[in-house]
This record gives sequence, C-alpha cells and structure tokens, in this order.
Amino acid sequence: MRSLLAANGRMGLEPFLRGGWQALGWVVGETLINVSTVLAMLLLAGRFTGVGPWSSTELFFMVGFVLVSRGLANIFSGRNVLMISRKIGRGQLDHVLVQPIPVWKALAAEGFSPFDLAATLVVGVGTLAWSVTALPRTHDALWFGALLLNVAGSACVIVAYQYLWGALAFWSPRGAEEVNSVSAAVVSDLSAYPLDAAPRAVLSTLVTVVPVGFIGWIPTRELLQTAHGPGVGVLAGPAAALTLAAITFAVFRRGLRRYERYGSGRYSDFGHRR
Amino acid sequence: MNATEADGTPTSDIVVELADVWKTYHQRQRPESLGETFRSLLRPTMKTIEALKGVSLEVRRGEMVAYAGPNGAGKSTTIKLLSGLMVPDRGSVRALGMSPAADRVEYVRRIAVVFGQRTELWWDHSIGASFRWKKATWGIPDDVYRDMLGQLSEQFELQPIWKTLARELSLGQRMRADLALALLHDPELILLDEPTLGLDVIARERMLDWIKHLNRRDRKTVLITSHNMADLERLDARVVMVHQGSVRFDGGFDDLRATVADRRVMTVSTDVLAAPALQGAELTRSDGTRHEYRFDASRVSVVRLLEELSSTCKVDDIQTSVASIDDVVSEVYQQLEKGTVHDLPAKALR
Repeated sequence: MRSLLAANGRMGLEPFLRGGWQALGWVVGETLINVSTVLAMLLLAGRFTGVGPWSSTELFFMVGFVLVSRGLANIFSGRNVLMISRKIGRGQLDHVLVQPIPVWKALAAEGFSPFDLAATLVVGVGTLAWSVTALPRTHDALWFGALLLNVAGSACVIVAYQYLWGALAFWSPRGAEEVNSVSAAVVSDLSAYPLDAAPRAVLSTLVTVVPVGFIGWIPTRELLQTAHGPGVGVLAGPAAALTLAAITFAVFRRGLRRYERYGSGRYSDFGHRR
Repeated sequence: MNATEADGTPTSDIVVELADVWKTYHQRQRPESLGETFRSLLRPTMKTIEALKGVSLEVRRGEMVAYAGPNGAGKSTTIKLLSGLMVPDRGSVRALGMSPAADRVEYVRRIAVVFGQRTELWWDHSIGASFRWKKATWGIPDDVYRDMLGQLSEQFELQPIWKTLARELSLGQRMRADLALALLHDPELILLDEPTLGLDVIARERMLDWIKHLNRRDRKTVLITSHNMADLERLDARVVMVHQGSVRFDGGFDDLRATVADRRVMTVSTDVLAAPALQGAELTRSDGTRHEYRFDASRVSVVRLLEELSSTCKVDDIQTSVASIDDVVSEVYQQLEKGTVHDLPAKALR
C-alpha cells in the first residue's frame, strides 16, 4: 500500500511543481476556498464571546477539528474519488476494475493527493492547535488519543457519507452526480456549526440521513465535555463512523454487483486521472 | 519448452472458453410527450437488447483471434466479459482457468486490456510517469520492469515520447504508448477492443504490425475486435464473426471468402457513356466511359463477359481483381439480414 500511495502522491506532486506561480496560486486558492466555507463561524466566534453554550475558543476548536477532518478526507480522495458518482456514472470504474488490487485499495491510492490538496489540512491543524492551547483546561494523553480517534472517525463519516450518496450512480448515473454535488455542499456548509439550537426534527435529520452532526458538532462537544472528566460520549463519533461505513460498504458492494451485471453505457473520460 | 514456444503455433491448451453465453441489456425508452414523461415515471418503457445470444468460443494458447462484426454485434460486450468488467446473464466465461469477474484481482494480473476509445495513461502526466505508476500498482519487480521497459521502449519507440504529456500526443502515439503500457507486466492474454479506431493509415499499419508481432514473435494469445475487416485480414488470424449477438462464422479468411462464392470485380474502359448490361454481372459504378462490374467467377467467366462487352462497344482496357474482404463481409451480412443464410456453406456458419 505504501508504494501505491507514494506513486499516486508523486502523480499529484509532478504537475503541481511544473510552474512556481501556478503552484502558489493553487495553494492560495485552495486555502481561500476551504477557509471561506467556515468563515461565517470564524467571524461569529471572533465577533461574539460565543454562540449558545459554546465559547469563541470552543467554536475555533470545532472549526479546526472540521478542517482537519475534511483535509484528511480530501488528501485521500482527490481526483474525483470523493465525488465517486462521477467515476461510477461515467463508466470510469472500468479503469479501477482492470487493476490487480481490491477496489477500495485502488480508489484510496488513486485519490491520494497529499501535496495539491493539503491546504485545508494545514489551516485546520493550525486552527486546532491554537484553540487547544487557548482552551481553559489541560488535556492528558488519553484526551489527545480521543481527539485523533474522533478526527479519523469524522473523516470516515465524510467519505462514507459521500460514497453512500455517490453510490446512487450505480442506479441513476446522471441524477447521482447532482445529488453528490449537493451532499458535498452540505458537508461544506453545515459541518462546522453548533447544532444545539436546531429543532428536534432538523436535528434528527442531521444525525441520520445527512449525518453532518457527526462530522463536527457531536465529536467536538463530547471532546470538550470529556475534558471535565471521563465520558463514553467521545466514542459516539467513531461509532457513527463505523455504522455509516458498514451501511455504505453494503450499498456500494450491491451497486458494484449491479455494475458488473449491466456495466456503464455512458463512458466518458472527463475528469479521469487528470 | 512447450509446443507454442517451439514452433510458434497454438497449443491445445484452451486459454479462453465461452460456453453458451447470453447477455441482455435493458434500455429505458425516453418519452416524447409530457404526458408520457409522467406515465413513464411509474411505468417506464424498456427496450431489451440481446447483446449476446448463446455465444460459445474457444481460444487456444498462442492463437490470434479476430473477433469481427458490425457495430452493436456484441464484440465489446464479449471483451468486457473477458476483462472481468461484467458477468454474463447465462452461460460460463472462463479464461486462464479462472472466472474473470470472480477471480478479478488474480486474473487481471495475467491479462492486458486495451480499449481503442479509452486510455490508461495519465492525461496531464508524462508517458514515463504512467509507466512508473503502473509498476507500483501492478507491483512489478524492479528487474522485470527494467527488462520489459527496455524491450517495449525499443519495440514501440517510446524514447521520443517518454517525457511528453499524454494529452500532447497524437492519437497514433497515444495508442502506441497505451499498448506498450498494457504489456508492461508481461501478460499472457491480450484483449484489444477496436485498437485501430480513428487511426490514420500509417498509424494503423504500424499498430497492426505490432499486434501481429506480439502473437508471432512473443507468442501471446490475442483476441482483437474490429469492425474493419481489412485490418483483421492483415493480421492473418482466425476470424470469428458475430452478428446480432451470435457467432455466425468461425474459420480463416479464405473460408470466409468461399462462403460468398468467388466474388470478382471487373473494371473496363470503353468508348460508351452508357454502361452495357452484362448477363451474370452487376454494374456497381460508372465514371464516364469507365464501368465497374461485380460478378461470381464460379458462375461466369471473364472471357464470356468480355465477349459480350466487345459485341456492344470498343474495350480499351480491362482490370479484374478479387473483391475486398469488406465487400465479402458486407455480402455475408446482407444474406444474414435477408435470412438467406441457408445459401451459405453450413460448415462455416454456426
């Protein structure tokens, strides 16, 4: 797996280094786009002392946490691997299936773009590190372990959620591309908001059908509460990630069986390995 | 050393085995009126397309098989089944002793697939980068990679394009790089789906030479599809013709010609603008005083046609030639369409 990641990582680095100014422009653009998705929350946190039960530092913590999670998901799912509906709907899974490795491995390797898609991760790590030091409490190693576990879980929720909606392309290739774009926008727009004040019905939706609550709100809330004492709540995010991953795996596998039966009649190389 | 290595002929070892393979597609029909559109939401109209109807085929190790047929005949479906990309509705697909879809990971390590309209190259990267990527993905050991790259680089003249981005290559260069990339892991079975599609005459000739080389010199088992019969004839391969999802012919090109009698073309230069009608020959083209006829040499002789022609006009020049393979195949298809297949020799038809 390491050589696969190295090979694909290099594929991302080569065009990135082809022009210095282009590379710089890319980094700045990528950073601005990703920061802008959480800018409203950053401004609220900076302008006011907090939102509801959240202090401004805690809000910065949530924003940092979400950016790190999204950054992690991004660097393992570039080149349309996160927007999997495009690969499925355009028949590009054929290219994956002719590789002598399991599908998940081929997709994870192909999506690995640590250089060109690292901006979000870098900004996120900075924000998270600052907010952790600014929080008015000390943290032990166990807490940092829980933080890492939740970051991984949150990244897993993002990927699994995108794949769950993206897998619709096995049944409806054209429509799924639209749905997948909306599902990605929902992650960008809602994952870094404290959802405490949301009505019960909305909240139920945001932790089930559209589980953005498990990307930022629940994991950070539990991590911040855990700082006051031990709590099993920190396992809620990772547990949700595992559950969602299992559902996604089952749906995707079923879709793949369908792909093997019917193939794709609308092959297009648009966006393939570019 | 087995028989193949010794004399370059296929062995009795069956590499590809399709037994009574059926494959059907369901195509949703798009409504024309708004009312139909709403009705189709609840009850969509589906069209059933039978891509393969009981296809059976065996390919021996070291053999080159030209899998021919018009567009929509079922050629690409067969290649997809053999690539492990699809599974049949009914029947069995086995290759290299494995089930392509069920044993996909192990199987694709031993085959190469090239689709003429697709590329495995990385679009915004140099050709060299794509080869290095394949080495890592296929887990090709360093020494094997060096050996294979040396051979392929020489055979396919990769050096001049090695540092060029895939998107900057001509179609001919891209296909050359794609074929070389497909062979990097030294596959046993090579599946080529329309590899000459869109290539100009020179690029096509070279591509065909390489493919022939792969089979003759490197003794690879090759299954190639094309709707261009002239290309396939150049490969001097066993030809399997599919039509509307069924294998209709399996044999050599000479046998195929024989199925539609001894078709000849006669071109005559005369002193008349109106082409004289000749008994037993069909006028196919007229260009001024130059006329082209098609006839069955087994039924009517050139001498007889010439005598008849001389009695009506002055003949300045005459040329005869064997009908092109495309003409032969076109006639076979026409007969198949008309349902007059019983007129063709039964041994050739499946």
